[in-house]
Amino acid sequence: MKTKLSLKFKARDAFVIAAALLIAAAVFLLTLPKANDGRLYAEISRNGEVLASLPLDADAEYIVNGDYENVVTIADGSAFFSSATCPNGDCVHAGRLTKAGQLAVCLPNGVTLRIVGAEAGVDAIAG
Amino acid sequence: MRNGVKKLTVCGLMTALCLILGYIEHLLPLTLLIPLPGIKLGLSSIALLVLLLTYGPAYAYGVTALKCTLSALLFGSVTSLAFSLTGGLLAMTAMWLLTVAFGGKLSVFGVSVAGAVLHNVGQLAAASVFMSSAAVFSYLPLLALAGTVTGLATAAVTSRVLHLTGYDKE
Repeated sequence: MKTKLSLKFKARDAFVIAAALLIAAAVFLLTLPKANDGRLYAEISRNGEVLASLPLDADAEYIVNGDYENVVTIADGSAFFSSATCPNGDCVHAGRLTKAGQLAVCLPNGVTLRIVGAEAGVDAIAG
Repeated sequence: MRNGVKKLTVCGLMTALCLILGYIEHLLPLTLLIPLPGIKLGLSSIALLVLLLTYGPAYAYGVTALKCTLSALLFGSVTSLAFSLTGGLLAMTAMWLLTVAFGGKLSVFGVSVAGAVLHNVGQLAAASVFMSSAAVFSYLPLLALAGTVTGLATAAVTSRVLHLTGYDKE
């Protein structure tokens, strides 16, 4: 059963790459946010439970407690993690979110910040 | 017997190598350049793929589990252990099955790309269970693209290392 792999790129490797890109494209299309011109909301959840849903057009600050502390700031029509006490701070590096479907997460604290359209449910039915 | 000692020593060295490579990535995280959680070069996959192809799946799975456990103890947490174990074991399974099933038709490049992408899938699966939300899968397209690129890059190094060990000669 000792099969040897070629050390040089083979034509069939392109199939693996194509499969990876196909999966990427399929998931991209599936998770594509629905067009929405209504009000946008920043939905803050921790471990699957929605903690708050704040409109993007009103400046606000929300603090998520847990294993660590994340500060979500809403300013100038964008929502972002402005600071966090978790070790890597990936959520802060994720930057400002402005469009429906955009997402920033803090894995150590289990927090997700997602932009959702107010009437996403209605749009899904109408569309 | 001497062969057994040699294998044990090489596995110890490979585990140490994986930890050092992981530490280098920890010091210079790719997330600073591209702010995407879970994005990384996956340098330790070089050592793990070399081990899979030279010593077989049993040793490769063993070192994968050791590497994940030790690096979580050194740099991570219980959560990071769950993420890296799911990612690491899924990636190793993908690389092993592809080698067994299509060994004659594929090269280290295809196998490495599959491993890198499945590593991301595993981590996102663990993350979605942990956060009880499938929303994190919206990261998959970019992570799969990044995994394809880093998979090809680490395969280039793997290919060179295996050539130096005489893997393609015997």
